[in-house]
Amino acid sequence: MLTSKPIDSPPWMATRLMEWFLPANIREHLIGDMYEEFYQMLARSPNVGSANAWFWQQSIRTVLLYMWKERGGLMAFAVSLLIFIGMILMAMVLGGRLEMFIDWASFLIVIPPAFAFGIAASSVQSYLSSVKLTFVDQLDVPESEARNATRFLQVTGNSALYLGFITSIIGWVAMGANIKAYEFTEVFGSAFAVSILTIMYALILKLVCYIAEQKIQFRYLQNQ
Amino acid sequence: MTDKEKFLGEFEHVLLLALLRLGQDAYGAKIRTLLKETIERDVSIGALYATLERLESKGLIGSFMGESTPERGGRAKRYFEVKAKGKLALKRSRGAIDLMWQGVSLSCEC
Repeated sequence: MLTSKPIDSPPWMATRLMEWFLPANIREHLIGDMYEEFYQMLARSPNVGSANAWFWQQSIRTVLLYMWKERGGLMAFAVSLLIFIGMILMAMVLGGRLEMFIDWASFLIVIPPAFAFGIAASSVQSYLSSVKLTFVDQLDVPESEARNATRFLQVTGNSALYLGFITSIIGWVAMGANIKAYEFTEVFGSAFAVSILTIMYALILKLVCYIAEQKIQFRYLQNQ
Repeated sequence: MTDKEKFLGEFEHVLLLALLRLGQDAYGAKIRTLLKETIERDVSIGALYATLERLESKGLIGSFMGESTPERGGRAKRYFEVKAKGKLALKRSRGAIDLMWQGVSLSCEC
């Protein structure tokens, strides 16, 4: 048993990581046990590097285990979102250049207005609740809050779809009115590609809203 | 009582025995050290606590808070002890294993 604390301390970032992610009922004594073992390792062999490596390894394994255990819903949602984004990026790269799928004007006329409609039809509080209930599990929330959050997600997703289709149709009307016969083969392809980007952005937002809405319904509303 | 509650998993069995061997000194760091030195099982501290919590929720063990020391960064220990229900589960589990071993001989050089 050691009588005084050695100068070298366990990595503070690993300790902070555990303080953030471990449940309150085990946090203190689990970290205490790791501190004790850390100092015992240093007492046996003054190799700070290997003691730090051991501490980091144990911290990461423990945090991952408890994140799956305590916040499985959040992890599943985050992983599915990452897979979804990865698949979209892969499809874009396979489809040609990534840049041809990025058009800030199309993005700005669909996404921000859809969020604005969602907030207008519900409230800023509903928007905040939808984020909170999507990413945090096992909260004790009133049914009305969960319903308002799903309403926000429904209106946002559907507004994005309508905006996407309407702005694409506006683009097609403009193309039909402005493209001359002699330039048709030269400009039609790129003009059409840009015009349907709004539908693509709208569908992506709709899908994310749909998954979040289903998650909230499953977690908070199915038994009520 | 379901079969899942009635019979212990292999690690649960080992852990209950570790608590009995350590007696009054059964807390996280000591349990890990005992498992490592006795059966060379280097279980992660997270997995250890997850199993201890499960055993506690089944009512097989109990826990209480102990003293804090400087080498623990001022954090308290949490001591574990096997309850009567846990001892009964251990006996039942050992009895079942002993019964299953009867008449079995391993011919290989394992």
